[in-house]
Amino acid sequence: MASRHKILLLDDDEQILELYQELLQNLPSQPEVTVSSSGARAIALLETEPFTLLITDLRMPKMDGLQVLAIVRRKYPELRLIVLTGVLDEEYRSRAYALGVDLFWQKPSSSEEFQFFKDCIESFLGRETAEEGGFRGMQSKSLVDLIQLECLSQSSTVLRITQGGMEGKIWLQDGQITDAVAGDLNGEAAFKEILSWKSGSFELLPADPTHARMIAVSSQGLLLDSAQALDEGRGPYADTPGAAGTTPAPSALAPLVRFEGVDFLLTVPPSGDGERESWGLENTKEVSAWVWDTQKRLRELGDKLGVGGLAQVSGFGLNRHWAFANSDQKGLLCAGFRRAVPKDKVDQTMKLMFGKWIS
Amino acid sequence: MDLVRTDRTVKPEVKRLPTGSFTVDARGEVISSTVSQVFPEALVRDIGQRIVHVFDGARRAQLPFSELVVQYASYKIVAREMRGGAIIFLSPKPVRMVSSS
Amino acid sequence: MTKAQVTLNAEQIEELNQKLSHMRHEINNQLSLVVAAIELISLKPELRQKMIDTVTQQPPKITAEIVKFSKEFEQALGIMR
Repeated sequence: MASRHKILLLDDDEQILELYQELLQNLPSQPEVTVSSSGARAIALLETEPFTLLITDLRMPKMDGLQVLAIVRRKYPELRLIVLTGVLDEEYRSRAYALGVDLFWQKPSSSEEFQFFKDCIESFLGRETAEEGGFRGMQSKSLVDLIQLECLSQSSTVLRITQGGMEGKIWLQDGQITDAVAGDLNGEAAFKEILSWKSGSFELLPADPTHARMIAVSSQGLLLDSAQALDEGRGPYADTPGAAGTTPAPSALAPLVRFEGVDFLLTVPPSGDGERESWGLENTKEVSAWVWDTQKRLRELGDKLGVGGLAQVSGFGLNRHWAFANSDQKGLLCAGFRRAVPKDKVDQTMKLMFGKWIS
Repeated sequence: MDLVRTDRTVKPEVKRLPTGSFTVDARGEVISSTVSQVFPEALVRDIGQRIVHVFDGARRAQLPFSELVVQYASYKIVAREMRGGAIIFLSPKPVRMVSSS
Repeated sequence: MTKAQVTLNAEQIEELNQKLSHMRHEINNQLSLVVAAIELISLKPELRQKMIDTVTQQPPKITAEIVKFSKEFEQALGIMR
């Protein structure tokens, strides 16, 4: 493609716009960068010209950045979205990802971060713009994400969900969840029931503003509760209700269970064979096989590059996080963390646990 | 003592490490890269394939996740899952200099 | 001077939190301007003077934010009911 990429940069600070415009235009692929300090103007611009990428801050004077994103994501499914924000806020980050942004970045405040940022944008622009399936994000949207999206865009609609023989309806008015119905249930109970259906098809019906408001609690709270309830019941992991814990851990792991935020533990003996010990996991065999294989692969890579030993590996996900470290003498220790645990805490806790375990 | 003259007989071998970022598709094939051409493509591809394998394996073991952080003694790899593929960031970590005396 | 005990209600804490968040946001913005300006200095020598100006503008702004928040913080804790 010989044509240059078009980037739209949205931020409330004029100086940021000026400098970033220069810097982005200076990238090897020489994109065309348009700037705006108003969400409304940005949306108007998107309407008139074909942009490839929108980079936006979240804090905007008149129109909240997340609102802009919600609208834009729906109208332009092919547009790449990157959030570039002043302060990293876990809540904003998960909301943005739930909306379907491609990346959530904090404004680089060091030269190293800046390099990463530049490399990242350049990589982004290098990708094919054609997307398999067209509606990026919509395919993998879970029900929670969809409702979140509708709330954020302050929609009024009636969401009809069908799953097998069951049918449920959720009323939304101006971005608030006002009622729900599912079989015999209504209100909050119906809402939670509908959300527990992991699959199903949905339809957006015209709004019904005259429908009585039966749900008074905040929609955000409701979504958060439901998402958490889903997490705890979902997947192969045993229920681990916090520090108290109902499942007893093998003696070697017992002292580690007490670390905050930990929701599973796994050890693999050195050389990979032998008795695995686990707590909080149902599919121990599969997870340990994967962890061991991963450890081996990454260690080989390290040797190939000549970068020293593999110190620690961690993974962060929407549902949970994990980390592992390996010792030639004692074996491998892998731990799972609740998703609410922030990244640096996961890192820190893992180091502490591993240190304790090998001592 | 001539401080300016460089000693040409002893040249320490400092291994350079690939730095930058690149994106790979679901098969680990490199789509775009900002890593210097000095590093063989095969090496970059190898990194990509290993990373994609880690993401895939995790999904199959019911542990799906979206961001991977690999810490070595003197190197760090961060990867973000992207629609089956990944964007991967490579950075050497500053090595602590120990004075020899 | 007797030491007074201070109680803040949820609203006051929230307000203080907002102010803190605002400060962090502003300072991060200002720091990222510094980083961006420095990058541009090496990339575009013709912008050198302008970028130097941009950099020098930031420290007083940052200081001002910190002073502002410190005042707000002290004021909030001075509330006694």
